[in-house]
Amino acid sequence: MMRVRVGLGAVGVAIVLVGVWAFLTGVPSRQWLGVFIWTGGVVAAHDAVIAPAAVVLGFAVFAKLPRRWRSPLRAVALAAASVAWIGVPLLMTR
Amino acid sequence: MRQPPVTEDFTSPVHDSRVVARLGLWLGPAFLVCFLTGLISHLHQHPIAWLPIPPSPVWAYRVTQGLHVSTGVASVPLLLAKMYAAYPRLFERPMVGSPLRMLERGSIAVLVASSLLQVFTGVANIAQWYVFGFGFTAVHWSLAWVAIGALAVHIAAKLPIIREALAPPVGEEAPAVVRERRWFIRGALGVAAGAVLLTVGQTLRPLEPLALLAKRHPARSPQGVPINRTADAAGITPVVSDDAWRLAVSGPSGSQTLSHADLMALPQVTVDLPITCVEGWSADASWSGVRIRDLARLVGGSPESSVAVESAERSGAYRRTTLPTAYAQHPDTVLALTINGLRLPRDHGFPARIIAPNRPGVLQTKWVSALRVSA
Repeated sequence: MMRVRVGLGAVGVAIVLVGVWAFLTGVPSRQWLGVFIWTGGVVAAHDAVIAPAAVVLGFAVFAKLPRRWRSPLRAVALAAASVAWIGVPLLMTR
Repeated sequence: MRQPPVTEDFTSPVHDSRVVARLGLWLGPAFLVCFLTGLISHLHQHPIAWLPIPPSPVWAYRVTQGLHVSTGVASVPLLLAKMYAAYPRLFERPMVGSPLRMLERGSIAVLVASSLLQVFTGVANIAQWYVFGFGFTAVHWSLAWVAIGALAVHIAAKLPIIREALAPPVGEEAPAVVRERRWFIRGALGVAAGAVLLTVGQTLRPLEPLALLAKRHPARSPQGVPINRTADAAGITPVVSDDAWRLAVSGPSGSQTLSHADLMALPQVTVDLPITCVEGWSADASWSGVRIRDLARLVGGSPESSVAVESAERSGAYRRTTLPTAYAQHPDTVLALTINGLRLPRDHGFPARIIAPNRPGVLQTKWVSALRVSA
């Protein structure tokens, strides 16, 4: 298994490097800062806002409800988040 | 709860490697299909001589781009669910640790960042919401490689945990806990299926009434074909009439200027071909006009000629496009003058547009002003 892991890891690193090369040669350098800001932005939005909000929702609301309600409510929350993610760009470009 | 929290503070049964691994069994293939179909779309727009995309089958790009957008849309709930299930791992101690651990956490950071940005820019792009201010295609293309490579590294790093998580459970567990985990996964898959169902109608006609989350609706568009870029948006100077318009055609044996009447005097063909947009919609129409290869022959084109197409639009990345030989010579590649029997409306490319089989919509150039035929 170690061989498979090392091989897969090496292939992965090589593919990442293709991406880095494509980025350096294909994206104009004046756009790099914008890409870094947006990348940091989406990670911060997830790790510091969306995921904590889901955790707080789970422990402040769902945990206080009867156990059989939790699974359907989790699915509803996920559906709401997904519809928001896909729907906001549609609303912004109406 | 400690400040900041540690992994053990998260007590929901959903935060479990078995959930994370099983969601990965769906998200991983979705990413792979999205990546491969994205490669095909890229090859259409940036052809490589030794890896040409053939003009047939006609429906191929419809299927691959439909899959690209659908797997991308399905990735929204799958990614959110997987990252929620794995979220407590972010707070594992030590935060930094040994070089190997730094490498592992670093690879996850790259995977998470590139995946989130890919799904975000992709979903924004299908709505044509260019909020991010950088060029979409070059960034989406390069980060696709970063994300898929980081995914391979991630699987390599986590393989022992994945195997353990997918193996039959050892020992007893409370049935309620098992049920909650199972229903979380089923819920995520259900939401992913729902998201696809609410968008795929833009290309899968029977599902069009359900396409509530789709940007374009062929049935509600003029001549049944959506318009991404209007003539005004493209800065087209209005051509008042067919008499006022001339098409410039140049090639190895010289150049010609053709009027609408000249074009109508050439053999006319009618082809039934879809427009398939990179943003995921597609729509069938019937087009008639003159074969590109017939026009190429007028100026000394050979069966090996490719044809460069120029549009009257003032700017835009696709103002100039090239029909590779296989496309330029295909009998169904046409300089279309009509759509569904109607003289081409302005927003569909009046006075003339390109229509070719198995080709992204951005390359089906509208408002054609000139053709340049290679030897």
